[in-house]
Amino acid sequence: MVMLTEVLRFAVRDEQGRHAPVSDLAIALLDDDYPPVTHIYFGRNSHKRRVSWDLVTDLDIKASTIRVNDLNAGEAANDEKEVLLKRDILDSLILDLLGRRTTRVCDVLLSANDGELRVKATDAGFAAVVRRIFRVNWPAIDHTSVFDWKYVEFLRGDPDAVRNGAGYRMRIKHLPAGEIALLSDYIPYLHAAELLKLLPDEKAADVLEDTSIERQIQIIEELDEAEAINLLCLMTPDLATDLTGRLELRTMRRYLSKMPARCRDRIIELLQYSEDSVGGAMTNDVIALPRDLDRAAAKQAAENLLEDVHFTSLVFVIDNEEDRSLRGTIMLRDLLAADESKSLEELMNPYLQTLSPYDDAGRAAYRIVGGQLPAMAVVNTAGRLLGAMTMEAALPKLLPPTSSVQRLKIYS
Amino acid sequence: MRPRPEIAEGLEPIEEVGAAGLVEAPKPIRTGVRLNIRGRSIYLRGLRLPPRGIWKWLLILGPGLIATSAGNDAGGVATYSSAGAKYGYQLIWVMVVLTVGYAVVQEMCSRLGAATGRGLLDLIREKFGLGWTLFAVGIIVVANGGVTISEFVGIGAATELLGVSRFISVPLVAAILWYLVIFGSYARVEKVFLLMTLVFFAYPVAAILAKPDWHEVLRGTVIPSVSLDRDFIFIVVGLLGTTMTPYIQVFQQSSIVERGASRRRYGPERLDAYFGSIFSNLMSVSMIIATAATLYVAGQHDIESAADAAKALQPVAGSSAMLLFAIGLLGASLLAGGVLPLATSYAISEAFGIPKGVNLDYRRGRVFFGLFTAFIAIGAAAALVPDIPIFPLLVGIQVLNGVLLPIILVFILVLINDERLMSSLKNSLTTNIFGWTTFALISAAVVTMLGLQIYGLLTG
Repeated sequence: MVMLTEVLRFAVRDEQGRHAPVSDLAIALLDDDYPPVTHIYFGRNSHKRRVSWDLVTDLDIKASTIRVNDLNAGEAANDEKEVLLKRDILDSLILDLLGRRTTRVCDVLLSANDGELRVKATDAGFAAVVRRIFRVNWPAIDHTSVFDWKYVEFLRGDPDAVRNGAGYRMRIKHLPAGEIALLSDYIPYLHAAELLKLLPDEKAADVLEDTSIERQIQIIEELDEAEAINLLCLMTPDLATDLTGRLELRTMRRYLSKMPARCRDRIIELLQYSEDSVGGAMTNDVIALPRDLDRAAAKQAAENLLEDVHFTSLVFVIDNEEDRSLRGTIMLRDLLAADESKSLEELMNPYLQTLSPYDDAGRAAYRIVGGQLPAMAVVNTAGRLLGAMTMEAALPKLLPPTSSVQRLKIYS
Repeated sequence: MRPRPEIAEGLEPIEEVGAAGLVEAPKPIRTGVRLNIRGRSIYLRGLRLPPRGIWKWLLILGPGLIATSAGNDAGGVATYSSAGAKYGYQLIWVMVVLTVGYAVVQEMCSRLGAATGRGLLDLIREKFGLGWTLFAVGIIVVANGGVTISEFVGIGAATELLGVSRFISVPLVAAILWYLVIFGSYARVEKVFLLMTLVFFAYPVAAILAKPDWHEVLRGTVIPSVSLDRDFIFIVVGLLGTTMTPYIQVFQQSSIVERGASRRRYGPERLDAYFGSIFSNLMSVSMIIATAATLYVAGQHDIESAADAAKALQPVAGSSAMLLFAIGLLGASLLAGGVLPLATSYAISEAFGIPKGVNLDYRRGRVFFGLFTAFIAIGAAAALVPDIPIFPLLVGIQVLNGVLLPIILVFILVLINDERLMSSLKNSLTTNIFGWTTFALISAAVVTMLGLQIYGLLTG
């Protein structure tokens, strides 16, 4: 093992006795879990050149020397699109996916095997700081502050880097959305926007839902219009509405105009209620089935809707699709497990208490949480089902703003 | 009729009661905006409309006003009072010149924060490396630690002027500040800090009560008077060093980041920075006027601390002026007592990539809140030590801050001209001219100050 800061004190020498100080190392970030060094940069500033690692004949750590056949074989530096260890990794903010935390890289551990130099880990400990500042090999590596490179995600702090084809290791996409959102709280908003751009759309929408509204606005502003609209449509309508309602009026109108009709209508419907009302907290993306369906047809209809609908725990039973008068509710679980012979009307619970979209959201939240209800139906004065205020929407109304609890997903 | 299901007592099936029967009357609702979206005219109430009227302007205020007002701390009050007591109105023009440079520097910090989403130490670490970061953090920790002690000394002195023992007030204030930051959100902390800045209005009132000669005030403002006298140079340098200290820049940038500013909507933060700089220097000028109109006129020229100034005011300007000065000192020290430990915690966390922010809860920001707690506790405990040599401590801190300030200014100016980092928000030529001129003035002042310190040491 050799530390990057040690290598940066090495010299590159050739057979003719020419030599130059190593100034940086380029790596092939995506080649492996432990990426190999591909080029050595040598010389200073305007005289900076690079030589391929393939031309290295010997790596002599004790002599602090990297030997190549001919230094003149080096080419002019072309570092714009490369990942350089000193310039891009050292001192940068990285995500440690195992520890679910951020840290700054104080040094990089490289393994020298079979003529290859590979990035193995990063060191963020105080010992690395001391070694680096005093240019010594003491104190020894503190293994508690060493992060395996396999589980490190490195971001550039530039959301456009993703579009410009910068490589990413993408291990982060395997984390649950909530954990990615937690991690994104620790990093600057440009890094968070870059992170979101890396993720598949569905996951990105989930992550966006889990972040604070202030961070959501910062991120959405950094996305291209098409990306932003797509994510808004993938988010649950109530959260997408909260976010849309906080955008600048001009931006909001542009986004709404360009959205697919179904998505636009849902958001516009919710935007008609003020934020502190039940209408402002409810979701209108619920399963509503006509009461005359038999159990098998209802089950089939519910299954078809499951993929598209966000709130699925409760099925709302309505008169018919046209007037959507609410008649009762049934838990999805009960519907799936119910006796085949019964109709939806027989299975549903007709004893309901409903909310008006103009009710105070805080008071409604007490009723939902106090009653341990997954949701309460929201109806207009004619009894037409408008949506539901869910437990997820209710809890944040009751928790203190400083609780730092993320947006909850209990029944979705 | 279908068979009626069993009914629980007091409940009716919904179809019999009718949904309308369960719905309460609509409450008055807030106004919204009518928009035409794809040919459909809709009335939208669920929008966060931008504030109007006076709120539009008040809501702009935040980190800029807080950071610059915190600069008018106990040490600042002592320096400004000393300037007024010793040279009357002669030095007001220095504050006018300083205000321009101050506003430019603070605005650059705001812009850096909004454009990058990163604190000043974050950027220093990423762009200038570990060595410079450790240098900056080291000085910030030592200097801010010392100033924090002086703030709690200021709190103790001010409350004793108001008749409350420091052994009661200092621990109490420390506990309140700690509770506010640990259990409050950033928005709440910002509101409380903004409220604290209201206390600074005590100074203009004290200045008016002192009945200054406004003609002389105007003269001191527009006609620069310069002397090569050692004490004069020392006090001018002191004014520069007290007004601009690195922690103000660190705090401003970090809190802009925490407030959620972004490069796409940068604008209000600029006004906040300008307003803050002008407001805080107006307060400083008020202190100079208050002491110039009383102590200078009465021939009482030597002031060593803010409490001295307040005490000296009593026989000359009456107890109301003294009380106002004491209240101002208490507010200033309270604000700085909260801002300094926060700025230091931000700086250390940014330098080492530790999760930071008042908005985090304790479990997620243990190190950040641990640092904050340590600074508050040490500051308060040290301030209770009897006969703590606060004056030499402040002089030492002034030297440290003086060494760091030009370096921080260079960092800021280099960073803000980095196109990759700032894109369209990078400095214009005019801002660069103001920025580099400020740097030159500050550097000259710091070199002079260090020279005077060394000369003072050599000559005893």
